[in-house]
Amino acid sequence: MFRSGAACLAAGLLAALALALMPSPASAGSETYCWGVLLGNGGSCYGPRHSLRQNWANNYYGAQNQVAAGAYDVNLNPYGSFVYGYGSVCHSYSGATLLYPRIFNPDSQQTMGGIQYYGSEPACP
Amino acid sequence: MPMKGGSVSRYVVMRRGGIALALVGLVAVLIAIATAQGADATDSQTRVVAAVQPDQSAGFAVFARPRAAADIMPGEAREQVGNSEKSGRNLALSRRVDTPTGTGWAVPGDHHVCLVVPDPVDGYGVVCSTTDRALASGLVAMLVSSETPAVVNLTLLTPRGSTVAAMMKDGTVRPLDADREGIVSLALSDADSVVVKTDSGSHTIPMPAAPPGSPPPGCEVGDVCY
Repeated sequence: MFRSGAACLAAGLLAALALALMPSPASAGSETYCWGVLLGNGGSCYGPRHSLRQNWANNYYGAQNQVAAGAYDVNLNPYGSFVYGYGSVCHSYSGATLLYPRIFNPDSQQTMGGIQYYGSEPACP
Repeated sequence: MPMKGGSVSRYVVMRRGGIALALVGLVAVLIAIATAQGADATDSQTRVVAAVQPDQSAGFAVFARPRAAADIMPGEAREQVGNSEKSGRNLALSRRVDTPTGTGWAVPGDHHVCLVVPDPVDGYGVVCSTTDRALASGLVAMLVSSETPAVVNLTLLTPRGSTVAAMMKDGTVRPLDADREGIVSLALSDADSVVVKTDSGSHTIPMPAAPPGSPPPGCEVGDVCY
């Protein structure tokens, strides 16, 4: 019983930690990718393929650094333009095309994260 | 027998301790869930705005004028971009703006302002910032295609009273005029940066690096590629 109590405590604490650390996705149909990955200047990272509706790049360092979001087609060729901005940018798509979401760091060294969305409703922040 | 009684007593104590620990664990889980839900509640406390806010109409010419029929976003654009409870963006308050890639929109949110710019291939770039930051340094959205990486399609929402200039690679300074709505819109090449001067100071926007091409061999989903 003692051991199960300790296990329960440990499970509770682990659950608390996991929930505290877990990024909250925008809604159903979204998933994070390249989250917490360190991207140096000029680095990029891409996520799983979907009928992409939106791709959202974030800079953990805040609004003073540039970030960029774009996509690849199924042949891993660039699709359309990258959108660049500060802090957080989002690129929407029609959802009619299978795409790989991609985030790009055009700025000095920093961490970035991406959220891709393939649900039926728009989700850009 | 005393030994056995002691074991039973110790068992009872351990059992009670176990139950107490289980309760602590349960409470920890409940607190964590409540915290997570609280975080979401904080996010959703920003509501889609019902009207342009006073500092937005005072600070940006585009939000000071009445909304006209031409400002209404087409259904396809509304469906792709949508309102947002994070920024409070309300597409029903959009104002049409010119961008280098076609018709775009400036959209007010709850203490946020957003720019929506069309990607000629598919979709829209959506860039938002706090109203305060946009009043201090403008709000910029830049589209760059891998096919023409030297060309930056720049859309800049400028606050009233600001001036904008491009610092060209050859060392010259090229003034960039905003239209009467405070929008600077042009395809810019051979520039190092764009400088926005506002009441709060001078703010430099470096021209972005060219977007990445196809990933190098061996770079998989989730990898960092250069």
